[in-house]
Amino acid sequence: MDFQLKRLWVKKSKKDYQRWEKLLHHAGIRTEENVQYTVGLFDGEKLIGTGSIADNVLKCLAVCKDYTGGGAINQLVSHLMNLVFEKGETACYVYTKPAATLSFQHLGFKEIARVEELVFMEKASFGFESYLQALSQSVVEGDRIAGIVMNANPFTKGHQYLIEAAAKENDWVHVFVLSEDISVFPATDRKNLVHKGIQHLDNVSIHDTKSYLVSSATFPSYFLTENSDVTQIQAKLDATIFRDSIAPTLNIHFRYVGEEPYSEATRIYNEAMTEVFDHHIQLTILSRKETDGEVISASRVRALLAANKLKEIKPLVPQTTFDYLKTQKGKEIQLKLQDKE
Amino acid sequence: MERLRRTMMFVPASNAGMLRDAYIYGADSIMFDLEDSISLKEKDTSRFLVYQAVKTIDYGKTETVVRINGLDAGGRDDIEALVRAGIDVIRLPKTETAQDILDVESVIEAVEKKAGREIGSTKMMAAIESAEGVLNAVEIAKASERLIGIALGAEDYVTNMHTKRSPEGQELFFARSMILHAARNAGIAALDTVYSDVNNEEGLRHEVEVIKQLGFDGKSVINPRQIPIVNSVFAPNESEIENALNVIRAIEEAEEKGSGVIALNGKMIDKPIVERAERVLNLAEAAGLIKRGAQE
Amino acid sequence: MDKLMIKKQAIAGTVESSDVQIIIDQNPNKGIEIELNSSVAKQFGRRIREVIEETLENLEIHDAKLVVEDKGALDCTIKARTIAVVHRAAETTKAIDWEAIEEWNV
Repeated sequence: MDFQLKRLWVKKSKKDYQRWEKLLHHAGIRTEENVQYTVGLFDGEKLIGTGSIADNVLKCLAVCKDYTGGGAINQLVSHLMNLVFEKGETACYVYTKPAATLSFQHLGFKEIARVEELVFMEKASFGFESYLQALSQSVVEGDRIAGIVMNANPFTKGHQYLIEAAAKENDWVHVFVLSEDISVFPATDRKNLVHKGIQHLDNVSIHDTKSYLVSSATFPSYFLTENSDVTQIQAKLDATIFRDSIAPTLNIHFRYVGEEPYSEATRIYNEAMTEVFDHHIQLTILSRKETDGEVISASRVRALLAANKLKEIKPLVPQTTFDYLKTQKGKEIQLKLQDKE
Repeated sequence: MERLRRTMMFVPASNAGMLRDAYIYGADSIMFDLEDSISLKEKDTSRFLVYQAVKTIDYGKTETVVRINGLDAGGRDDIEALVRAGIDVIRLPKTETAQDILDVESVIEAVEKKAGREIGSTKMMAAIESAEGVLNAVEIAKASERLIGIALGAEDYVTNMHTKRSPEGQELFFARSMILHAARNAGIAALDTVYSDVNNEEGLRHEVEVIKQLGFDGKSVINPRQIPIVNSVFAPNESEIENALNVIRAIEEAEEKGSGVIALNGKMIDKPIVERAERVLNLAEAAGLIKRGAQE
Repeated sequence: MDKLMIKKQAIAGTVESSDVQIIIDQNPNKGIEIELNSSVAKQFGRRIREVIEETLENLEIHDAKLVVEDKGALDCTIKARTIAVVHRAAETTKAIDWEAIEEWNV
């Protein structure tokens, strides 16, 4: 009637890993490397259910066949949801199969998007609807409206060039800066530098992505290495959210991205966008701006910063970004980058 | 009539469904647990939940007990909430000394005063779960007028003793004996520890037979399924009941005759025999085996 | 009693049977907004809202957004979860003014 919840040490304990894997395998679910906490649900000594957390996402949820329909899944999900919200997260996400969406709806989750056999759902007090509603305050009339999504970690002349190009070809450009604080440069500063770097343009507005574009919820393998199947599905999901919800809200029919010759994840992402956007949204991939035969990229700026080669950074970034790098905050980031090396 | 405490059912205070249904399984007492079964993060919500439940739900004749946290770990809030809600008994975990009882008692008293409740109306129970607690059991049992019983908490105790629980239970013999002596010496109830393997009914039955034979009043249970088993072991057998009925009848006859001497089958009936007969009839009635007050 | 203020988002309760899970968040100057999902919403939806609204009123919370997942909770459970989630959102889980709660909670 009531089952016990016990932590499973799937990375430390061989026994825990084995029984975890066995249960997931029976449920047709793969184990994942990127989980931070895993719990087991026990009926006496028997493991009958499991679930994991990675940031604000519930993963690897499974309940033994004989126990479905009872309270087991609710007990598991309650526990995990409480942990997620207690950490200070404002939303909780889950990936599930179409067949299981109903049971998550009963737990208050709402569908955001689905791709093939994957449904992405959210539980929040101010969720996706609120986000779209806030975005709709920024609707601009025009024939050609474009969107760009960037991390701007930090904002470079490459980003600036991309926005300028889009601004020239369109009536309005909506720039989305990734909201999550998982990059070296804090989200508020990244957004602020974008803002400062586009002062000369009068047809651009900047928005947050929250968890809905290229986030650790929608697209974790953008930040963490995963096999390409997983990355591909996540990329398609991300592109679907843009196509079906965000773009229609702002009347966006054009999306601009920078070519990324070095990042596998970005390459897969661009491919996924081409496929998903189809004729709904026209994707423009611009080749990267170069200086002295080398393309400008934020990763190069970070590498130079770590190597303390400020002088070489100067031609790669707008003056406003360069000034920021020399502030106390910029120096702290430099130290962090050097520690990582 | 003295209250029976054959079964005290543990209910995690975080479980809304069990708080609601706890009294339907026929346990003599329900013990809402705010201590070990509640994670640190859910202490606050569980406290509100059991507070509101005790305030609102009619648990009928079932005795309501709450196991609080240590005073330095949220226990003061537990007491404040549950005394205000009108709980019957506050149960202290991990009692080591008589002073532990006095400390908790003073917090209870302060809340009773603040809340305008009758001083002394909230009873206490102490769980003894360590070597120190066992050795101090005699003083602990006599520490407060509020105490209605002491209980053995074996899981922590065996850890403290560097051993594990076994089906035979030799490792608990000394602690059980100490707690029983302390309880009887103080005139309060002695309650045995939980039996954790809910699927082993035979093991449970055997353990209850052992502790009943030692002299315990009852046992803590962790699952409703255990309640009928414990109660059935505590139910007196036919000859015990018959004998007790005869004893009581003999007393009544003596009273009718105005005789000072009570005898049954030529034997003197003294106080302990009367007490035992009363106890047997209480148990028999609780088990539904007799109807007291019926004219016969 | 110090006034309780919703300072951050908070959650209390579970989606287990007979329980209710409540998420609360700030909702400046927009009053009490309750998004209720319940298996028994048709029959008891109004009553559930009433209990939550009354409890918030008693706790002097006038602006808040709540997402409520009801699994057939009793009134006393809904009340307890509401009190708990407000205290969590107000960051006062360790300094509870029982006297103030007792004044209205009879």
